[in-house]
Amino acid sequence: MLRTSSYTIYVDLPGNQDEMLLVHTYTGAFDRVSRRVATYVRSLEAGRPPKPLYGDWTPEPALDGEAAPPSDETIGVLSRRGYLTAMTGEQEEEFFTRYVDKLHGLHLKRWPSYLFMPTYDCNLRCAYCFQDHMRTDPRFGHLLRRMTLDMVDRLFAAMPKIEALHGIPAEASPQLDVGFFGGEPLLAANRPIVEHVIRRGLDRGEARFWAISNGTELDAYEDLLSPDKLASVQITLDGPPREHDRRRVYADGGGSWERIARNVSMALARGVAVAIRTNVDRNNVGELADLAAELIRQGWVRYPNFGSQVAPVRASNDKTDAGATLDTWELDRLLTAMRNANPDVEILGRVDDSLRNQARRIFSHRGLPAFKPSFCSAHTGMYIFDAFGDVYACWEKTGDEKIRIGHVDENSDVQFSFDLRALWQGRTVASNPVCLKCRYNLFCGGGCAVLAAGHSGGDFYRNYCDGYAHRFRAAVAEAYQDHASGKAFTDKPDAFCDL
Amino acid sequence: MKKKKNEPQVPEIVSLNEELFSLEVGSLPFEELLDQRLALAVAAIGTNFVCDTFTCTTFTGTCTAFGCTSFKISK
Repeated sequence: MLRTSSYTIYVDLPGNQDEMLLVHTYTGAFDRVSRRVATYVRSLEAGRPPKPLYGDWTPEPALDGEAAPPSDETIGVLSRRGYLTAMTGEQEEEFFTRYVDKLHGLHLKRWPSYLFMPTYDCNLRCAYCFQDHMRTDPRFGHLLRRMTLDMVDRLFAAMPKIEALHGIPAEASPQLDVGFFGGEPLLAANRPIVEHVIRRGLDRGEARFWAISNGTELDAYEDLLSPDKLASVQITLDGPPREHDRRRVYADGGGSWERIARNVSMALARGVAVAIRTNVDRNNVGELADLAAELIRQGWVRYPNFGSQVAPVRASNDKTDAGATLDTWELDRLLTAMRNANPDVEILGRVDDSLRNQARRIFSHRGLPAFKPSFCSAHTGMYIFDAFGDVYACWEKTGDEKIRIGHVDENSDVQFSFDLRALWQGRTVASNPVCLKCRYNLFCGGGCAVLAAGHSGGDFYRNYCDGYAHRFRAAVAEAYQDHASGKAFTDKPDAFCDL
Repeated sequence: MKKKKNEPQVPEIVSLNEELFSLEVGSLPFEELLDQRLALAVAAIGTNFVCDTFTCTTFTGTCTAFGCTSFKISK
């Protein structure tokens, strides 16, 4: 007796009453089916999808029409592709859990990535910053210390011990992935630290370096900015000059656009990939068309190594008005409407463009999606080092010993808090009971743990779905219709983190 | 099955890609096939730099080279 797999997704195609798309989460299958076949598949659904505890959830499309069985041949294809299964719901969950455990286990065996935080200090005072308290509350003043060269050496000496935990043999050729984050990592005063990290990384072997920077003092790193050294930088511009200078301010209230713009031009000319991030809320969403015009005027969009993406401001401190924030789906729809009204705005990437691009590649090359057993590398192999030798899993959760996953001591031994490390690395779409039942889980990866914890009073095994079901269906439908109509496809860079 | 009048003339199903694996019995034991295909899926993602940290498709050249966020299995 066949039933519909619990991991079947239905995607309506706007304007097409005759067909829709089926997507299967764990086989990665994408199929276009007649409405009649879709109705038949839906009629074999065993139960309702679970509702998450937090975040915006959207219902599945309604069942309509007669549920007549299709041909035997089509039923055979539906079974082979995973949409119809002989497993009961419980058996399928057991299978899926085993599948995710295998997949996550393979992810944990990949090379870890490292993030250096040379300091928690920053030269800007942006009101919405999640680290605002570190610079404005004297109780956190002790955090504003700069990493030393000795600490860099200590951390590099610890890396092979961390890699061994991921099953990587000591003789393996390194594939180092090293990022810089802060505070502001690329302050001019941090240059000796950054330079030393790059030197030590290249001494180990193949290494890539990137940074998330405010871009104000990037000129101090000009000679290090190149595809073989500091190759990629994400820089924030929160609107056209006037608006940006109201939001991204120095401690004296002065604006930062001019210096940043000069540095973006310099970095692009040096062949460095520059991803512009724009943090958007209701106060600056109306400025996005002007920002797009400014990016064009600056000539940046001509560079293939230039990209841009908007992201919603999250209310992560007391200075941020939660009522002014937008959720991801709302922002995506607003930006889509702006793009339709003004083609220039297309240079600003939408948060869900990575989903759209993934779908376009699948349709173009008959490829498969990336199967995400967890949301981000905080749950697999990212290690974040601060100036004190403390180790954290997520860059949004640093500067507090109580939540560190480890500490690198004077002998470069890593003293792990194994419970906390396991908490982070154990969060998968199978370990979270709501995610386990969700048909979108391997596309979403279970959502951001920090946002889930923030909305649930600290439990990051909860959910923050952020309208994912709606966003997924809209993105895949748009990508399919663009593909079918032959619309040109250009891959554009994304932001560094979905948060 | 008798066809209804006015039913649109569209194919019942058109597969748009290849599936990672099929639950139907093939030449390999299923668990072995699954292990093999999942390993390919993770290998296709490339390094952390390309896919995890940057949520992929970032910095087009590298990601395209690694086939990030989408990949194809040669059968």
